[in-house]
Amino acid sequence: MNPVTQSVAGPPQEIQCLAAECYAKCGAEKFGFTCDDLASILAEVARKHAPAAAPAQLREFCISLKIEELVLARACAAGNERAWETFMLRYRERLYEIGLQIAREESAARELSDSLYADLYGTVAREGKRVSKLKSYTGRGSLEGWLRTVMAQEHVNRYRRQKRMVSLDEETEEGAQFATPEPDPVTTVDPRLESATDEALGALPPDERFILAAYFLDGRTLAEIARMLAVHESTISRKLDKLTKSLRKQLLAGLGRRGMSRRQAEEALEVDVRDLTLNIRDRLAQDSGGAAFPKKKVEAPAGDGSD
Amino acid sequence: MTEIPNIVRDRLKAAPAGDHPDANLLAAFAEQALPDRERIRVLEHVARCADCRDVLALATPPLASTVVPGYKDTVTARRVSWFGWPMLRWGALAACVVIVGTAVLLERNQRRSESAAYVKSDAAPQAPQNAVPAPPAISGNLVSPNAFLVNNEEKHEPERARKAELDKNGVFAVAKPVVPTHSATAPALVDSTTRANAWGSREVSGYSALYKKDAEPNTATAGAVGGPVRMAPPPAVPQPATGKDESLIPPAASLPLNGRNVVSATNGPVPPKASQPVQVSGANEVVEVESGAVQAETSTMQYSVKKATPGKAKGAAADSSVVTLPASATNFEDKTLNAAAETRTSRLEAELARGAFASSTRWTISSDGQLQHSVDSGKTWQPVTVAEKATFRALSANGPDLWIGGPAGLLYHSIDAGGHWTQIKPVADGATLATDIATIEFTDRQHGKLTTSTGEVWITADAGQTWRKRQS
Repeated sequence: MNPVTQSVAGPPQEIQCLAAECYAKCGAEKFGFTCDDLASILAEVARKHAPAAAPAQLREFCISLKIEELVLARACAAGNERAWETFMLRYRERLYEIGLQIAREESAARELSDSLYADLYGTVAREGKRVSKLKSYTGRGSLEGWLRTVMAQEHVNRYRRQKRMVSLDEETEEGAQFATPEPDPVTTVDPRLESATDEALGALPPDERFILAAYFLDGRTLAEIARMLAVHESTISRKLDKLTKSLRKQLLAGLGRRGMSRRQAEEALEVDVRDLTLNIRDRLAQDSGGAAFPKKKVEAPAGDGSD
Repeated sequence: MTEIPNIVRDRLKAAPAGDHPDANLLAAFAEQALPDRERIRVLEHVARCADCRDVLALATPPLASTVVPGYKDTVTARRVSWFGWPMLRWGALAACVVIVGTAVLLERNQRRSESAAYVKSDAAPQAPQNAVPAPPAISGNLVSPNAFLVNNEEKHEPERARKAELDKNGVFAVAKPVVPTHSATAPALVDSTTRANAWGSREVSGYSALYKKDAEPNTATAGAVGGPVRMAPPPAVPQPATGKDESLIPPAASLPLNGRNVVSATNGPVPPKASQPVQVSGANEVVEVESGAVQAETSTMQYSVKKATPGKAKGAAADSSVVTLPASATNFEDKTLNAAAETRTSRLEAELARGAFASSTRWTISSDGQLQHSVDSGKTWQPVTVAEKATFRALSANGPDLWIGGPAGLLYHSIDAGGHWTQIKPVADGATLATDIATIEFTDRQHGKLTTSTGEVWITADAGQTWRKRQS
């Protein structure tokens, strides 16, 4: 079997020892890897993800990897038949199910999983060598999780590409008029408000910022956010509630430091200039006279069946 | 939920994100497998990048019951500190609940014992009522059932003697509950180490660790979770109480029914030796237990149900409660009380079984197709034998309800977390499942589906009793 990796320098001693320890357990031998091959794989991953790790940390890092799945992935990338059999048995149907969970529709799921399968198998050749996507798996997470993430990335990319490409024919059929849109009214936000907001948001820890963004920008549910952060839904609910209240306090304090009075700060937060503009527009529409052609409902009498 | 000002929304969107983490990092993040520093770096990026948030939302596995196959005993889960504030908070709350519950039960027992009517007989004189000592002090979050039993043992010696004389046999039978099966059950071999260490709570949750008087030391019969307790009339074997304190002290691996067991009145039962397979029978057996009463009320049977302490089984919360069964020991005609006892016991078993399946419990299938179990969030794994020379590839776990599948339609089901296994042969439209099972998914105990390597989907809505086939 061809060596899977070409290490520039030999693997560190710690990694070689670790490779010798897990060589039997991880199934490298049955896929045609030698102990040195395994050490090279681990060293490559360590160079990528922990380049500055001390020897003791290096060993810990390698222990945290999913070595068995890493070996399987690399063996598949190298074209080992037995590895592919094992991979197919474990993940063939799972790929489709993951696709279904992501795409939520059978044909899209089938297409997504088939496309990923082709990438994993290595239909693309570079310099005469088959390039398999499995080679980029590094064992930080489980192989199934990596497959799910790769499929999710592909799905998101496809969705964004499709969103940008809109069929004009379809739009016309649906009755969309391609009139020039009205220019958005130019609004200037008080720079003090902007800087106070940036300051307050910058002081937030990453998980709180994530919760805010996921809930208010992406519109995700509390359950989804909880699942992404691996906490209970009630934790997210409590955090969010606390966060919105404390954010408001931070903003008011920040605006106060920038010379606004309390009342001014509260008004600045509660009244958005853009909302104000829209309100005026609505008010103008309400105050205007009745429509030139009032909509009149004409109810045709029910037919008695005779013409 | 309080809304945020639009300016905050705008500034949240506007923040630059930086380099995107690759699929390996995102996947590891979704599985909580990154060390803290890296996790924070990824989180900082994802908090600013809508694309990566979308990917992460899709990449985070659903609340699945399956564990990734081939997952080995490496530490990947984030450590949960037992002494962190959240755990301490809940621990304190649990302790308060236990203390209050125990105090209420003791109070109730005290009242019953004082007002209990003595059985009419020409037996020994009644014990003086003023000889009842105060119940033992409840300390901490654990009530020592031994202390309570011992105290009551001492004070109610005359009562027991009279009761033993009245009840000629002094024995009443506790039937092992019936394990529901779907097909012929092969006796399952379960690693006793696993059961003793990890299932301490389940071991003492019911009738499971009662030993027959003449049974071999290493034979244990496991009770099904939630099964009924059947009180049969006592056979004619007089078994006077000896009153030895040691016999009331239950060993860790046994169920202290009245603090006694039948194997030996002095030494207690011999727990299964470590690493020795224990034959677990699925047959319905009647186990005899001495009726040594341990409290003043002559008509009650009392046993302690004790969850494993943190020192005995990892991941289990310390808890204990004393449950008093009503007057079924000596009054077998009181069917209402028997039914209440059964309901209460089975509910208790179910509750303990659920409690045993804390979030630290994990199941997995190794790369060579063996089922493995962990009670410490995947730090260590113990093998679980389901059937001889069987290998598996698919697994689904819903608390104690486990499904495991392998080649050629090999399918096993357990409702008691691996205590008993039943082989299932799904049949649909006259055809039996004979292809390799690739995945198993059960959303709850009733509803699930199997997917085979040939693309067949087998669906059940009644916990595997009936199946229908769908070609995917």
